[in-house]
Amino acid sequence: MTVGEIFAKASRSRLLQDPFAAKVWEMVQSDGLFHQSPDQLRDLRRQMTRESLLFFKHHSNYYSELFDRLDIDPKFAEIEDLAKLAVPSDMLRGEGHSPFLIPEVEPEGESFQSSGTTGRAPVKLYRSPLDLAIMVKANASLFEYVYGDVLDQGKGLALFMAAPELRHRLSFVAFVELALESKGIELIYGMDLQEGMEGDKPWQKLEPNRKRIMHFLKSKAEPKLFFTAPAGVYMLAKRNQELTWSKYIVQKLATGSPPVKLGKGGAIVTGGGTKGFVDLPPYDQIVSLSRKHFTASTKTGEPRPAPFMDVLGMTETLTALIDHYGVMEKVPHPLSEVFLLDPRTFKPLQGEGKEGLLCVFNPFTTSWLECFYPGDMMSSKASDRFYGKEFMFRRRLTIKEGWELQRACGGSLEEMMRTRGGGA
Amino acid sequence: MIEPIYFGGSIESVERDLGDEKVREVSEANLMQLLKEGKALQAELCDLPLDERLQVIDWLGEVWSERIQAGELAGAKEELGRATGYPAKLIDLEFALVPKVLSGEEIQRNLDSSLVGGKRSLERFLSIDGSEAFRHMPAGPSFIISSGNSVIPTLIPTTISLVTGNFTVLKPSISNFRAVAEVFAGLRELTAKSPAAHLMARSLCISYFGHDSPGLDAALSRAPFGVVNFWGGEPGRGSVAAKLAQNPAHPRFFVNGPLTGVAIVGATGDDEKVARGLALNMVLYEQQLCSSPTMGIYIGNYEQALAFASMVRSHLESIGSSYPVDPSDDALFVTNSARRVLVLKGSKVLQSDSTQNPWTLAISKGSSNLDSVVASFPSFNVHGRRRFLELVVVGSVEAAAATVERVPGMAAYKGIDKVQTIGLAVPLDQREEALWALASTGAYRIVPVEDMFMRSAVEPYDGIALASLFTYAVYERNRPLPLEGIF
Repeated sequence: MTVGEIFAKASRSRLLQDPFAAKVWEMVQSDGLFHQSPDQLRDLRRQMTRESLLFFKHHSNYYSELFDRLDIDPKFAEIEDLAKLAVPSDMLRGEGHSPFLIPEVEPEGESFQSSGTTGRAPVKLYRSPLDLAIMVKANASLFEYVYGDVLDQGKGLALFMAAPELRHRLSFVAFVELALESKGIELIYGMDLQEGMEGDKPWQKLEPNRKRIMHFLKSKAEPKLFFTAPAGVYMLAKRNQELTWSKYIVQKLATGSPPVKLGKGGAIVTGGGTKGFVDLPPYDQIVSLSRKHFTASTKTGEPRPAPFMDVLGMTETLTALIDHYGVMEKVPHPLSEVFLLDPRTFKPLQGEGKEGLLCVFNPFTTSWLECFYPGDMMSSKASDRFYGKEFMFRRRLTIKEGWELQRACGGSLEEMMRTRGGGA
Repeated sequence: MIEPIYFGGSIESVERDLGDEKVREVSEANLMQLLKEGKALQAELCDLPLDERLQVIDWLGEVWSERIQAGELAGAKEELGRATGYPAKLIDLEFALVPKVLSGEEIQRNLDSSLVGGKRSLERFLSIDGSEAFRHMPAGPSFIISSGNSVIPTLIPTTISLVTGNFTVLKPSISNFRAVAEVFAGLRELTAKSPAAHLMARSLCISYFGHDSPGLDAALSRAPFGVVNFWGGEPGRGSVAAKLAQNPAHPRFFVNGPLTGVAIVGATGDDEKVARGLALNMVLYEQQLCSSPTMGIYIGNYEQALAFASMVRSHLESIGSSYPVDPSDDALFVTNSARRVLVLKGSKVLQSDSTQNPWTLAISKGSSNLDSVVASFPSFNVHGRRRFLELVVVGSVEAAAATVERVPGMAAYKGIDKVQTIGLAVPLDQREEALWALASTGAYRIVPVEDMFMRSAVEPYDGIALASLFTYAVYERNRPLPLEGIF
């Protein structure tokens, strides 16, 4: 579906007759959310939480009974109640998402999934057209806030180190393509998907498409936005670092790089931190190395280190948490209730700085009660920005700790860049 | 360092590196020599009156009690607690029960109910009708590869093997080696007390063997054992069986495989006493015994089940808090996640807020939701579940029996052979029907919920009389059978 088709279908959604769904749709289109104070937004989220729970109670016997079993009264729900509702992402493997969808869930949406390389079914989530439209709107607003500016309609060029086929599988790829499409920004996919069989086991691998990458490098369009898994930007930077003098001259003449000039407003956007691969250097070293080979300037043309933004998104969440390296740590959408749990008690952690289990509740998702924990340990710190808090990724829970699910979107991309391991 | 124990003389051992620690195990050559001498010792043991053998075991229990009172076993307690994760109070209970297992009187009752002709058939031929008689002879030397979940299950086969006249080689688990060794250490001081004690001390060798030890391989595939008794499941069981298949001595092999318990409670049979008993059995041994209730079945309606669960809850709070544990962060995370999956799958979950007493009761309508938990959290398997019970609510005795039959096939019970113990608490008018239905489920024991963990001296072990496995029966008849009309 194109973004136009998504919005057209969303606008015809019967769910919009429900006052809460209509309110959500209206709110995610508003720019004002990012200008509210942390306290105002906290109150708003509490109200949205209660209304969301009431919405699901009215639209699904499953949720009505679940709230009864947990002694949750939606009218008085607090974060402590959300903590009781968070679904472990592992439950969403295969067809695990289906029981959580409301009976009236609207068809003709799309499904996204994570990597299935562990030999077990991947996490797979269905997104209705209305939820897809909300995803585009909410993520685009969040992206622009963290980016620090609006993306001008129809201006610029983006390179995504992914293959076009992944648009319909990985939510990170879908969100980028749809958000850019909504802004009229041309997107080039820098990789080709290769598939084959090794014995009876299918494999998939991403191979760079030099022609399309060259097109991006040579283009004079501004801003240039470079979307990739951290491994992608690291490998490009490392390759430039290791160029012999003669190869450097040839490449410079052919493409004008290195360095890669991202131009006014140019930025590098990574997906998923470096959690996919253990043999990558830490993220700050990737940034430091890459900045030697990628340059950018402000919208007014003043040179600055290439901005790095990292998107922590999961198949399970409609919106991501995004950071801007050196500017802000990860922030969620203003309406997302992001909180940390003590993994020993599953009670919400109080105070800042402690490592806890990330939980996300998105009250704007209308097909299922989107409250889950993806297996990431994070910490938070106080912030004077809209959310009042910023979040730092610490680590993925391990199999030894009891967490089996190990790959999300960014990890899937990295995996497919590096090995023949990317199974369907 | 773990070293072999033998009070009959010096022992030759070899060092083995287990990665985390080094152990010494009896050398292959020494083991073969011991077994050769063991045959002669068995003959001497058979000549020893049974009462004298039992007296030695009694004394062993007395020595143990004295050592507890003298506070000599603190190190062994601590080590066992660390290895098993059991609370200190439970280890105290376990140690306090040792003299009961080492009771000559209890063992006599067991022998009487196990052997045709009774206990005296271990000393001489005993006639059953004037013309036919039985004598039971040691089938060993015996090799006992014991479980590691507690001390007592190791002591039972070892004492039965010794008392029935077998030269016995015992391989405890690494987790209970020290505690088991401490129990039999009493034999050292008893050797001076009587010739019988000296003889029995010479008839027991305790050694650890690594699972890939050449010594263990030799013991199983070549050593002239008459009996091998293995306690545990795969992959050890299959590996031991394969090696024994090559042994030219063709030792008798019997396995006490991994089993579990189910509590069945019927409406109006669900009084406070039953609730307390269920809670106690959930806490004791952290549900790691083959008899521990790891599933509950409630025959009645959902509201009645909730009311019963509420009673169990209060006992879990009080009993569990008196046996505090210190679970790892990983274990708590997985437990919390398991609770979550159960709620999301439709179970009502009652749970503790305490990390030192992390009990969980899940009440599920009609069928178990536990397989869904294990699909997402494989470490929440039957060995990882502690103080946890899913109470499945069913409408009839037949449905309860069918649920019991399904247990071994459940993913949540992977590695478990079958249900060993059913703790039964149904109203009197339902009891006959229940016994009828449950007898064919494959379970070995049907006992009150209150003391599922307790064994009577006369009970068979996993369906078979243990003493009969360590002996062979010699049958004697003093007159021909009537053949009139046949020839």
